[in-house]
Amino acid sequence: MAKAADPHTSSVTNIDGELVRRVQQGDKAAFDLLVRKYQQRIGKLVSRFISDRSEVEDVTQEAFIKAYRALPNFRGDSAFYTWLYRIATNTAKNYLVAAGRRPPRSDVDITSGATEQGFELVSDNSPEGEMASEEIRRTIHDALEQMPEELRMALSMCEFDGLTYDEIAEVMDCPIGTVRSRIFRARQSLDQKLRPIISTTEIEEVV
Amino acid sequence: MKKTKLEEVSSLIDGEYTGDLQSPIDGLLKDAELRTTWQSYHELGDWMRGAADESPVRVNVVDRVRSAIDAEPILLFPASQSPVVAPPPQSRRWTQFAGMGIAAAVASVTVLFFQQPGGLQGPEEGLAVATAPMTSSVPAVSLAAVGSDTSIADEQLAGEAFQRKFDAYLASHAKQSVGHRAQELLPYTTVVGYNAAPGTR
Repeated sequence: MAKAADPHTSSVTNIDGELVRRVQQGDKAAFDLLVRKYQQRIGKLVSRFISDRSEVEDVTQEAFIKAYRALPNFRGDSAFYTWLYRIATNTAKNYLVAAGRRPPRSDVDITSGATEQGFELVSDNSPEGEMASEEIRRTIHDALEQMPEELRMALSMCEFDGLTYDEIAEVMDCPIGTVRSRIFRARQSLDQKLRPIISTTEIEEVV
Repeated sequence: MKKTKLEEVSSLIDGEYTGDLQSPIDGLLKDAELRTTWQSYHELGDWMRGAADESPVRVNVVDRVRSAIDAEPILLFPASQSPVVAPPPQSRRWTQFAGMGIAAAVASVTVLFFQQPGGLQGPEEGLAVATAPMTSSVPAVSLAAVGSDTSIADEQLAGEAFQRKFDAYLASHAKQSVGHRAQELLPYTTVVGYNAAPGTR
């Protein structure tokens, strides 16, 4: 059976669960990994309410801080991302109210980002943002095109189709260890080409 | 060695890491390059799945959130109150067992009560039997919910309230059962008793 296209499968949730457990036991550094994992998705969500780039960053940051403060009350009744998503949505709405702007009347769908009424909340993307997005998309596309077919297939089945390693091994008729290796090599290859563009270099901190 | 660690990060992201999660997470927390890779691979996946495109901005709030959180108090749960995330099936099973415990307790009340010699003792005596198993069953109901001290206190209060209500229910039920049964059985007993008396036939 294919795992859900949404990455919040039970095993992924277990990693989140382990990170949350660590934060709840006083390990602040574990929260850093959750921020790194979810910041783009939360940023995208917030940007559907707010179009200004600096405001999006502020609200995204605020959402994560609120989540950190609320973590003692997180009991795991839902997936961590679902819980975080609600916090981010409320933070964005409250921000709009505080700024004297009217928040949308309907909530944003958790998977597509569209509202219940079926329209995008913010559609006036800046030309710079559009260009940057286009460059990233093109880089990924080109890198996938240039990649050996077995690597491209393995990564595509994993990321696009949401297949498990077991299922990919069955489809590709190879051992699961080979699938693991192929997906890693594909990611490594893409990362080398994409990293200069998205520039995720971090300022080293001592944990 | 580094390649192996990076490959571990890759399978960790896919939820395909086989083995104890502690070791790779410890590795991530200690190694800056692994953390950057963790972030980069996640972002890569977001872009491939379309979860990051169409966004007017690409945010990077890692440093800002870290700085803000450094100023926050450390979250600490008491050891006895270990937090639960995404409750595993076992937790749900405990809830089921708690429900089964209540059912068993109610069943034992019924059986024990109706097995009393004569069956017409006062409801208080029947309740004494009934409440004993309930005392151990009620806390088990709250096993699935783990929260702050306040919520635990609330749960205890709710548990006590539930216990009182349940006791009252049992008392009322027992009373009604006794009365009802007496009304039904007494005429029969009377008839049999009188009919069975010597010299009536």
